[in-house]
Amino acid sequence: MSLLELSGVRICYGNAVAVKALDLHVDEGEFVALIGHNGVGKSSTVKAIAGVVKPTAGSIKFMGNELIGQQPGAILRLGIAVVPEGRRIFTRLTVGENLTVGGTVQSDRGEVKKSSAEMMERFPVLGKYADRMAGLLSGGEQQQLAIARALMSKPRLLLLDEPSLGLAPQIVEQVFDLLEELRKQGSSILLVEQNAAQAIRAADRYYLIRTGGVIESEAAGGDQAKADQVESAYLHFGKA
Amino acid sequence: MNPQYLVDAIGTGALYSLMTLGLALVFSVMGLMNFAYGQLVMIGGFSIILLRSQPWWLLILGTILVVVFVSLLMERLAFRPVRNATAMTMLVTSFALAQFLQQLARVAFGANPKPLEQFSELSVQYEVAGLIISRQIILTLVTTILVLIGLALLLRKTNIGIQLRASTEDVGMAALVGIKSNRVIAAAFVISGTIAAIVAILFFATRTNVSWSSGESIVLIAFVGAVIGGLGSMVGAALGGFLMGFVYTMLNALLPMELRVFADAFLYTLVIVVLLIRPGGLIAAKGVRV
Repeated sequence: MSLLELSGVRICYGNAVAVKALDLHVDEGEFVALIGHNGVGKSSTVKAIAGVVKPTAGSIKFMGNELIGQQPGAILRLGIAVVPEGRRIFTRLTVGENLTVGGTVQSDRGEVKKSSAEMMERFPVLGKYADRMAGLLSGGEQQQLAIARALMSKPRLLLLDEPSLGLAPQIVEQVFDLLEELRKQGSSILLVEQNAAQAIRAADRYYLIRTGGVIESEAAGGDQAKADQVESAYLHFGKA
Repeated sequence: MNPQYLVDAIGTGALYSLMTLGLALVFSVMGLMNFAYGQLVMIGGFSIILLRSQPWWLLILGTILVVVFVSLLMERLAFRPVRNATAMTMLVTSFALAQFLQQLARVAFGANPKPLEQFSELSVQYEVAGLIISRQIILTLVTTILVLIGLALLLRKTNIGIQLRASTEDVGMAALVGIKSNRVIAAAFVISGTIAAIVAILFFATRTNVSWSSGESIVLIAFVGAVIGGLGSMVGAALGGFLMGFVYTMLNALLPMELRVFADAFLYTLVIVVLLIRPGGLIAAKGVRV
């Protein structure tokens, strides 16, 4: 059984169809990328998995539990943590407080403190600026904080929506290095990205979606040639 | 200028800053301008009348419990059902609730103001460096400072406080990290109710009666204080409320006698000037429009 399984998911906003019929799955320990142009329904898919929007048809199962109709908090408690588009860190909270709220679903306060210390060790910049307002961090540092905040809930699956958006190229490299490290440590990841080449290189498998449905799904596993081919053929990001 | 005016103005400013904080807190968490907040203070006033014969600690505790209970009831029965509705719907709900509570008080306690036995202990005055300082002003200042410190500690040092601050900034993201909105909003109404009860005790300590319409002027002061301070900002709310009380008292003291009846007009003209210069208020929170 897959960790996460989407079957025939359809998402509409009024009369506008954002996702027609999406099928995808993520297995335990797998790093899967969902790539596609802006406006093809990638972020809507993330929102549906996270419980922010309710699909009009289909099913989203996580470890056998149906997620459609569940609240975001309940989905987080089942083990899916989200790193949203634009990071959405709490800018008026300190770095340490952002980590604390990330651990809200943990019932043991001592465990939250321990996890927070672990995050600060894992992401040294967060430890260095623990008492600084999060809004004062650079874009890359904020992205690290957003990922660390999500990891505070000890998720089974990490869901990332466009983590490279708005970041300088070398910072994007750092973010992907971090995802690579998380994958090596056994985390299951579903990455939604416009940066197709980089996502395909990093992921075990990718799904390419266009106008609300999957048009290609293949193993990636660091295949540079494949990454370039997909980018050139379907996405026209500079090389077409 | 007589420095005595400053003492009085600081006392009034402190009380007004408390009034504003209670209103601003709920606005920050759920975007609701609760115009029934003044009626919470009014209910506190009637509680004081009912508990006047009790020991002072029981009077304070009883008033806080009654007002917090009504505040929680407000949230559960009136505001929770419309939480996801438009801001306009919530605003109309709060107006309707204010009217309902006023009329309920009118039925329960009568149309005429109820006399309130004075707290003679609070009228004791001290002379310090030529200034007359009453116990009531000292109590107001000390209470305001303690409430501000308590609120700051609560918001910074406790989990519920940190969750409240996270929710005030991004309620959607707060839900995504597992913060339970019902719990956080209820906490905001408990804090707001507690502040309303404290305001009632300090406000009615200097009044001779409580009326069903007592809350009207309070909510107006709190609303305007929150707006000029900057909606969504706690520091702004405290500052805005303080300035309202301070400036109002100073106007009443310094304007020529024949112009003092227009003190309100001068005050609200100043409010308009402030908003023309800083439309978002003195300390504007991000993403909030006045």
